[in-house]
Amino acid sequence: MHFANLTLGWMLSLAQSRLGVGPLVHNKLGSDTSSPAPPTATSYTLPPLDYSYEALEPHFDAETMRIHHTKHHQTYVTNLNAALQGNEFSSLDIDELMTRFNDLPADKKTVVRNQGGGHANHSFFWKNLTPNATALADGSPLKTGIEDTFSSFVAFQQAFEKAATSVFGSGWAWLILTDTGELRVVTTANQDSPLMGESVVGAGAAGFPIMGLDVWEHAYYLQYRNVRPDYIKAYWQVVNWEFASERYMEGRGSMVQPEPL
Amino acid sequence: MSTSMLRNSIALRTALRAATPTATRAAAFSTTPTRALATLPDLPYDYGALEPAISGHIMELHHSKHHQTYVTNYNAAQSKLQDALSSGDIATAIATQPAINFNGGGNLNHTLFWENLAPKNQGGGEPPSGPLAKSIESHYGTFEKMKEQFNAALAGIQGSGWAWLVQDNETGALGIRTYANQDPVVGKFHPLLGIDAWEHAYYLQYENRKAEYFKNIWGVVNWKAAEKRMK
Repeated sequence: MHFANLTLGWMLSLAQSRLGVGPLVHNKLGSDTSSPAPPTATSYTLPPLDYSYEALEPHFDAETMRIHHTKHHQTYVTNLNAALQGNEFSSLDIDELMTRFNDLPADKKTVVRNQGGGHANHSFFWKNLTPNATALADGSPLKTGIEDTFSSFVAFQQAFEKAATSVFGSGWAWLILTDTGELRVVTTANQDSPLMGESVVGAGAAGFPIMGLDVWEHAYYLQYRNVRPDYIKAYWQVVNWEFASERYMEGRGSMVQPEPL
Repeated sequence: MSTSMLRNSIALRTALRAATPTATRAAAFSTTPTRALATLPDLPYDYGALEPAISGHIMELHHSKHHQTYVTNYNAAQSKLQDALSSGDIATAIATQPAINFNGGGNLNHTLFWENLAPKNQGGGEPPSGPLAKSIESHYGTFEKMKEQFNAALAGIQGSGWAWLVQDNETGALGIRTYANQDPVVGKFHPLLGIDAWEHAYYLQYENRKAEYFKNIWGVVNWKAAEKRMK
């Protein structure tokens, strides 16, 4: 196994352009060398779901999906736009904003960590779910990678469930690919993203998200009440392993052509 | 903590139940450490008594599920800690600290919370009087201004946490402080009045409209409990 010398930002730009995620408005930083671009009313926008709100039932209920998307995620987008209005950083794609976190001015870091993190995490999350979930194919690169790392797919699932259950308060559980090519199950607090880097998420939790689960109470409370473990179990029924596999290949720096349907 | 709780006659029975060790032995002649098991305190009112500010369904889940889980998990964590301390397993003793902090804090916070809420017919919503009222006026100008700051603090919490009106143990000064997750009010400050801002505290009724919850809960805040906690 060897990797080309890829920067995380390049990998993410590639991932975004291939997968069509990110805000609808793209401005390259530094492309306008005259006066600063006038502030845009909306730099970031709420991405639409690829499925209806009820499509993930009975695992994720329609009401939660609707509120989660139209209220919680929308609020992160609205607040992020308000915080970065007129600021050059608002022209970055959301994932790039995450990887450039340490470059932000000090007075913007907290709000971008919370609101930008919320936008990045939820944009990723919707792609990570699908009503037409199929099992991760035996022998596929991601399955092999998981088996090599965790000794079995079931052991990986147990590690992920344990991590998701153990988050105290609000946060996320992730399978990430570190910049040394290691697959790892990690958790982050509140809306911290592994893309923000070690200085934010701590040693070992920084990396490129492959799949992730929101364990904030708003993600499951209406249907599962206090029983987070039941929600975590239900998640396995709606994981978009095709998307996760694509993320893995992007992170690894090569792209496998998907099988024709 | 136990001293201030004993001064609160309303909570006397529940406080004693929560604090009384269920197994004590003469330490000198036993290798079994004494354990004060935490127990879930009873509410001094029915689950539905705080409606319409907080629904009975939320109160039941919040008390019988969430708080109960903190009690159960705290007892498990303290048992593990005591075993580790007894056997000199320092690594395990330290590794148990987060669970102690989280579950013990969850137990403390919710116990105080139920006490500083009350139905209207038990004084819920009535503004404070006496020394606490005077102290609020001198620190914040008016009671309304204190509430504004308190609600701003609540709105500013990211993720899960609590906002507390606290008193400085040295100076007696009031303050409004937010604590993440289940971090308890310990050390320099002691708690007077707390509001739970975790999503489970309001989601079934208010969904994401937490500002509405923060506004409505003042109608069932039990200032008498806060007055008794003043030092």
